[in-house]
Amino acid sequence: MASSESTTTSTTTKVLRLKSSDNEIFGVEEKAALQSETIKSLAEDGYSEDVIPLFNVEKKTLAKIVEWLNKHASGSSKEELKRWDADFVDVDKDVLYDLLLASNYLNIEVLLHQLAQKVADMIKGKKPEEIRQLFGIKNDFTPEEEAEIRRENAWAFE
Amino acid sequence: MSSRSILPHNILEEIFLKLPITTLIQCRYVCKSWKNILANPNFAKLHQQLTDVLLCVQEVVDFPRGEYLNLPPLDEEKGLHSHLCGLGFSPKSNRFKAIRITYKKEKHMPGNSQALAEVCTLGTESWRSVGFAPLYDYTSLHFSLLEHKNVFVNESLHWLPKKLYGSSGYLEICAFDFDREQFRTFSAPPHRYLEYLTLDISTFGESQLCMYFQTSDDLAIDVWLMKEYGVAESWTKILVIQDSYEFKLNNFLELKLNNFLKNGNILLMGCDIMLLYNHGKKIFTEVDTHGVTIQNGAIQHKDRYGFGTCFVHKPSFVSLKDMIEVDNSKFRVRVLQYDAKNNVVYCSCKMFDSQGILSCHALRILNVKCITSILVQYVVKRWVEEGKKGIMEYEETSLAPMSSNEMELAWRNA
Repeated sequence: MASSESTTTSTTTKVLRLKSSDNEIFGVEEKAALQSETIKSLAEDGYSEDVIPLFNVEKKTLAKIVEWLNKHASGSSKEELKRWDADFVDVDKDVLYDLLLASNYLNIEVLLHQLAQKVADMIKGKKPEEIRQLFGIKNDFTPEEEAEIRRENAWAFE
Repeated sequence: MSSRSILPHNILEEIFLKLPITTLIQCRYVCKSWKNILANPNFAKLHQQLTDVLLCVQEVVDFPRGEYLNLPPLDEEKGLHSHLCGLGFSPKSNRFKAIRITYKKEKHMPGNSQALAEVCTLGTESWRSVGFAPLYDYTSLHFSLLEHKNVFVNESLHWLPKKLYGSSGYLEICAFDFDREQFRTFSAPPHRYLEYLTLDISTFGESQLCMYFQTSDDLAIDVWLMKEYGVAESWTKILVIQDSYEFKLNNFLELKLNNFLKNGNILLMGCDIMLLYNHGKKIFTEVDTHGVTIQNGAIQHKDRYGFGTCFVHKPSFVSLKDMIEVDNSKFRVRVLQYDAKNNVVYCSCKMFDSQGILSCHALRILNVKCITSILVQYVVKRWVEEGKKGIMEYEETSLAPMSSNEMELAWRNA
């Protein structure tokens, strides 16, 4: 990774410095970093010369995000990227959850879609109880309300 | 752990959009906040754009949901070959019907073989003959069996016949009317037929037929619209899709126009690629097919019958389960239709027509469509307060003009 001294040479090697919520600084080439709409607008607001603070992203998540940004700016072939992305989203659900929030906050649309697809694949074909269990969601319906919905949708539950 | 389960709504929506409707219905009662997102009409609208029903040669396949329904099998033993199979809806009989055209290869009499057309009403277990298909000649080599799609508009299925030119010497289009179960033919647009790379028919909007040609000199795709249905003189060239630099040659060669989408984009199928074309901006975007293979410009369905071509049937947000109800191991067909434009719900059990009460099937479709209140036109006047006074004013204003059928219905239920 290029060091921050190289910022003066040319725009293609310009490095942006991103700071996680727990004060870890990551140097990312501008081309890679600007895939995030949030970073892009922060950079346009004049943050590009010093550190861009990302208060909502912890270092372990930001490290993963930076890894993704670099890979997607590296000019890899479509097939390679596809394989790489499949491995990238193959993580446990806590990491997945942090990545979802981070990609949403950083507004990286492509990554958000990939992560959402991964979650959708996990949910697909599951019963409500299984989905609740998977995500630790509390059932906040009363038994009457639940029976009501079940009656409305009886055909979907064979 | 439980605090981690709370995702912002926009992320949840993003996830829900990638789910099949059967899972979405399950999701509705995971918890209240999920139910509220899914009950939002805007979400239903978004989801609708993403779901189209695709059909397969011997099955009806609800492609995004992976459901399928077997049609009675083709009798291969008799040496029959299938040329075309399509699905249509007959409003008069309230039934979905499938049509297939089969022929028998007769080596000794080329050009003499006739194509038998058969119809199967969905939910029944046999095919019945509806005569011979017009303009049929299997020795014509212009088209392979899989190359072309068929198009359902105006209660009829349309396709390009195997015999390219009719007796007039012009290219003709075949149509099958599902109501009357009859064939007809009409002329294609006046075009330089000999120089094309690809040509086919498609739908434009909800109910119009269009045809497109890709010429070999500049690879541009000309799209013609039949402005007045059935009138050959009304063919008009409406747009030209030009190659752009990013999808040169291989991808742009033999590009097939699949669909005009509601958002104004055009869905195109290349040899191994699906593209969205925005005509206003002249931009092509590649579509993620989520692992479904595209070969020779068609979606390959993992089927057992050899024919892998699928084609889009629209509009339908409704699951196949809503079209057909399984009752005592026999199929009973309930056709549910929801017309968003006019807010009309239609159910083949005709409970509203006969008793003035919406049937559970009709209510279900409203439910699926995330409509939470009963539509005004289905609250029969005898249930409202004014009904008692016996003074019924006929409102001609807000509602869409009724057909004579609906008028009679409204009168009977008033």
